[in-house]
Amino acid sequence: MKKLVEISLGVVTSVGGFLEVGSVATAAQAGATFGFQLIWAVVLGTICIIFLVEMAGRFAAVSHHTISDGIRERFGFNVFLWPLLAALLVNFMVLSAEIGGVAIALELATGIGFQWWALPVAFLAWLLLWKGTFGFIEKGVSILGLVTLCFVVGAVMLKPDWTAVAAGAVPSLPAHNAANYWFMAVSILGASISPYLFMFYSSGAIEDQWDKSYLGANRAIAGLGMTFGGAISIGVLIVAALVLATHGINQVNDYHQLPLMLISVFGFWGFVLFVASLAIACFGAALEVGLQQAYLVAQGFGWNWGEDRKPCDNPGFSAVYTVSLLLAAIPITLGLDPLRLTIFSMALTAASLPLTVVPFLFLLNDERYVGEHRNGIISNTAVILIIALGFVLAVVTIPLQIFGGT
Amino acid sequence: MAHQTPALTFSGRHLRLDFLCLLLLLGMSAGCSSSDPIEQQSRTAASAAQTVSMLLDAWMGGAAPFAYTAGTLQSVSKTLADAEAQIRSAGTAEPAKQAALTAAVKDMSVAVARAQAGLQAGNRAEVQNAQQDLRLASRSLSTAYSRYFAPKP
Repeated sequence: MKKLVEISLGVVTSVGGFLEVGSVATAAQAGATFGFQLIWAVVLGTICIIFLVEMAGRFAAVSHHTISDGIRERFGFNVFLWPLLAALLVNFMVLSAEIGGVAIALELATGIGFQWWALPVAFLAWLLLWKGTFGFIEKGVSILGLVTLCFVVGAVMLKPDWTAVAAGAVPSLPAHNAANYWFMAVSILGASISPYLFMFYSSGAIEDQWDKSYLGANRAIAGLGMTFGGAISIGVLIVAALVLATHGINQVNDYHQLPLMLISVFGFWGFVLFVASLAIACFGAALEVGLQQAYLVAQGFGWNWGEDRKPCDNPGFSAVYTVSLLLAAIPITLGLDPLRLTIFSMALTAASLPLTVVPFLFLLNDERYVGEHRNGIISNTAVILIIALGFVLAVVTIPLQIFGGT
Repeated sequence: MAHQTPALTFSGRHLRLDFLCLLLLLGMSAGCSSSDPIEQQSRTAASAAQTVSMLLDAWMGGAAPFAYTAGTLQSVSKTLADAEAQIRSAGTAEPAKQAALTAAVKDMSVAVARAQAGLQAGNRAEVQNAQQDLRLASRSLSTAYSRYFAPKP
């Protein structure tokens, strides 16, 4: 019975914590510009993150190592430095984008410019990390994040052509704007397969003192939680396609356009739901990414770490999330467009995935760490193929997007 | 619960390489652009106009609050001004058709400014008139766009 409660709570946490600024922005842009045609990218990204999260939990439960610990121990610090720096840089951009997402939600609610909200948001996030426990961070905000289910409700209420939705789950070539199509596909993959998601999950498993008895629960949480989470992203895409695209809004360049998706379905409450969804989802993600930065550095340099410990007992760990939050708030305070930052950071995430995922796959195939619980051929193949696809698309489309292309 | 991993050392050479990598990535993120600004900016302007139209409908129906509506109009007016400037400055072999596109986007900006004024004054009739102007400007943009990108004989 206790396990069942833990699984349910884990699934709810995964669902509530799935949506963040990247998945909202990329799914909305994809739906507005390409209708249902990019649903396949969300499906692929979700499949990949299911495998990675399951692996991260299994690795932590069996080896009692976090991913960062394992990579550094197995390959040495000089090799670990590359994934460390890649993850820190990508996480920094994602953290900045998440703070920007909360700031935009507050601008939508109050009319006060988003730049003014970045530092207060970062301060509030810091305060919660400083005073809160891991359970509070992990479950509290994620449960509030269930408000994002309004996108699924909205999608169902709009009565989409489910055959067309299913057809969108099959990859197809774009009829127009090819470079933008593939760039959007990369951004969606990056938003779905953010390294912070599975790295945070592995640190969380250690914080929660998982052992082999959690392997079943881990599989259920990864499978069900991420599947339902992916369904929310698809919900955003469907609503964007049916509301924005049908009203002739084919370009989403501004967060101000996004509340119209839910206003059209729920009226004034749609506005409230959108603002709440964006604020809670992004704030939850900002807490997780801020914490993940601290986990990465503390685990990489051999410092004490643990969110449940008092800050004075692990000063390095606390200092990292403090500095990370402060630095990440600066670009938004200076007026950097959160939407552009979001889309670009998601594409960069996809490009950086091999650096973090490939060493991790080696660990999952190393008997010294996972013994009989090694990866099977299906999970290895699926993850390698999807990561390779994301990497190739990112390498091709990011320069196209920057230096010109239509 | 606290956790600890063994302390480690690293060499300065790696940091220099990573710093170069960081600079490269930051340079890459400096900006995004399209090779055909006229096409891109025309689409952006058309979407912006549709956004305003939908927004004003929502505001008049009581579904969009004032602060959000005002903020969105302000943001869209910047988008339109930027689109107009980019279309105007783009190099083209057909300046007359380019001018028609620029004029249509300019009309959109004027309509949005009128909507902003109506909103601030709480004048629904003025907002409805602005919406009408915006629809006309959108039609002009659509026509100008079709002419600009029509296949050459």
